[in-house]
Amino acid sequence: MVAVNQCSGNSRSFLEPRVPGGQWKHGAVGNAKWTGVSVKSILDRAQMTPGAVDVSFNGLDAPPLPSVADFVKALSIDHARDGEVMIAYAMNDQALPMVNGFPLRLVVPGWYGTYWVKALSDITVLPQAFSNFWTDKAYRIPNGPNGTESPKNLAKDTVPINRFNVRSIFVRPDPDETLHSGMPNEIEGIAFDSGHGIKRVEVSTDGGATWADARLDSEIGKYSWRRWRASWTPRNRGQYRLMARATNAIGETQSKEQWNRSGFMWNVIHQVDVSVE
Amino acid sequence: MVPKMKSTVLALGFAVLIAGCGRPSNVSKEPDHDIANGKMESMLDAKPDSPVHTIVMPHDEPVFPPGPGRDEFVTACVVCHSPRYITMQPRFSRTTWLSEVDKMKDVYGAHISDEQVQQITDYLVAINGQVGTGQGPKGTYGE
Repeated sequence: MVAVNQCSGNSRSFLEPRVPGGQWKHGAVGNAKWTGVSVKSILDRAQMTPGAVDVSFNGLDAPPLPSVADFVKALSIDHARDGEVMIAYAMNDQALPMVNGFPLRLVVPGWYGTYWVKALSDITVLPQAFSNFWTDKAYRIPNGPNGTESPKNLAKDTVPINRFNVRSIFVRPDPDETLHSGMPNEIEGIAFDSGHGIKRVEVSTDGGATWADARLDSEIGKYSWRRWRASWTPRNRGQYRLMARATNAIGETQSKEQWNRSGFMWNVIHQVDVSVE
Repeated sequence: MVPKMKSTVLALGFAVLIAGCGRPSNVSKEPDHDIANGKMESMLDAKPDSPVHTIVMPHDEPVFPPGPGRDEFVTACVVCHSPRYITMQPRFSRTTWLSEVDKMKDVYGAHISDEQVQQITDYLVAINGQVGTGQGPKGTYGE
């Protein structure tokens, strides 16, 4: 299975107002081929008794102080048994590198990386809802559209972070790159969502006034990112603001605003300012 | 220094190999700490034809400017945080920095006194603070 893994806080440094935490730009995301066995097949072999509610996953890592809660995450029993959640032993046809969770890691396609437990060591089937610091207090988002709230009106009701929202990211040009007038400039990027599939990516070269469809590469798999390309021939020199906006198969798209106190799920329409000479 | 570090990491990798999925009770949990840190801050040194994975710790010289509370800050914070993680943060109000330091003490159990909370906050505001007494966002949990 090819699947995107993305940090909950990817792009956190672009929030306004800024929030504490890892100050990612757009790079806390990757796309890889994962090979392993489904959690469903393991749970089936274990012959669970009825009444399971959640399944928790723990890894070999330990907290830096004994007072810090061990990092354990859980999925609902139905999610864990959906046949797609996987225990991976290979990434891109090679043993998992240490930094990617050697020897085994959980792959939760379409869900944020906080669930992709590395160095997986323990799977526990629970007859009640799982509860710990990392679920009850940490990695929570406002219970509303697109995990959004405003600094002056923080959401009272929060839920654990879950599926990716839809987003697109420029790969080329780089910010502040100089392009050339009177000739085609190749623009490209990636787009992904939580598994519905990317149906459309539009690019604007005038700061969002007008949009044109980008060309989509063929789909690798519903959990993979999809590459897109466009060719742009600016007539005149000057400063331009490029924007890219993705839409998925169920019509979800990107907007100009998204913010929450933790800096999770940022998917504001990506813009890149370039000079044309 | 570097070769020694490398052989240590190799040994840790071997410990994980033994620990595998069973986590036998006689395997010390100490290596996990180092590996957890390695995951955060190391660069991968992949050798595709070798069954042993090695990681090389990048050199990350802490550079902390002078300021009030610097000693308390260095002693308490670098136990868990890489220096760069702290200096990469944007400028925050005292409210925000204080809530971050309170969180480390009250939620994560950092071994610091109430007085040291104030001293560390003084330092963070001095090196990375905002002018004024704006409220600013309070810290939450999770990366």
